[in-house]
Amino acid sequence: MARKLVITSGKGGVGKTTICANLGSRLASMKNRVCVLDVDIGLNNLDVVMGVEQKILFDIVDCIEGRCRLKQALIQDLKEPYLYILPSTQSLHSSRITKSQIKSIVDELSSIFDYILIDCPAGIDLGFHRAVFSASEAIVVTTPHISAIKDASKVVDILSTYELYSTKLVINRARGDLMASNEMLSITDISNLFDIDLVGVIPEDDNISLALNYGGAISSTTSAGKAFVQLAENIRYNTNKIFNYQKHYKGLLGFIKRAIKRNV
Amino acid sequence: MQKYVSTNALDRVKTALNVDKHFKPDKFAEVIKYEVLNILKEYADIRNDEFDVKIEVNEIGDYNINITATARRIKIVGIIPDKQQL
Repeated sequence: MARKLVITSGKGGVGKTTICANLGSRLASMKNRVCVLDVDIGLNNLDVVMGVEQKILFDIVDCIEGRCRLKQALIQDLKEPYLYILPSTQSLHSSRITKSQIKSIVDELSSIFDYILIDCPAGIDLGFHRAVFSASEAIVVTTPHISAIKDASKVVDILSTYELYSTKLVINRARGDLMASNEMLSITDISNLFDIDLVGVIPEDDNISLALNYGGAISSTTSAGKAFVQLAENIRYNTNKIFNYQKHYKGLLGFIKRAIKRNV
Repeated sequence: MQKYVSTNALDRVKTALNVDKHFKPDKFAEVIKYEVLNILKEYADIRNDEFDVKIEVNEIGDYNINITATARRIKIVGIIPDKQQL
């Protein structure tokens, strides 16, 4: 049986889809069979982030409504042979899809894959509940910004009403330079605001924007790429090791780097 | 001494989270429970432990508000006479 993880946040734009794609890619590179599932029906993005938008023939709604078999809708990733995506639909008539129908798709996938990552839409309405209902574990994504933390906290409260095996926190877009100079909420401060375990910190990295433009996962040699490797290992082995996002901004050299970064 | 920007942000986020905690769904259900129970008690003998309100999200994202109550006795409701009868 697969581990079914929903990637959620409440607030939009915090990096759920980016984390879903890159975590999926890193888990697949460890020889795990991974399916990333886009349930943001009507506002599909995961296919674009992964660079497979031109390969879509069928989508999740086609599977639910019986126009294709599940395996016909699955798209293999361009780089990772163990990674597949089940895309969402562009159709705006999504309200007819129920959470039970999504769950039946996830249950069918769980016999084929080791990991199913469910990319949850923003908000806490129908789309959110459709995504969470199928999952057995949750990853709540936030950024070090007050609005994102506030929404993530609310989502953690709602998730506590579901019977999930675990709920863990990922802090995305951490600015090591600003945190080192106490100009941004620290990871410890943010983590202490939540009653759930911190499982990953992804630093702000221009390479993520570049990867999004090209389509596909970020290189594992970059700062954010290494953080995704650490996150995948934490998920895989149930550990909580945090990537050292402040390494480049400590000491005298770090002070100079911070000063340069602020004045660029 | 001047406060760090991060300290100021932490104070703000703590305040925001405290405000949110007062609007939790279970507390909202408690508020409804209290209000509805007070109204029903005007018409029937209902004990607090035989009354419950549950709020759930259904398949299409609407909220189901389920109120269950057991009444020992329905009270006789008086009829307000017409002005002409007075």
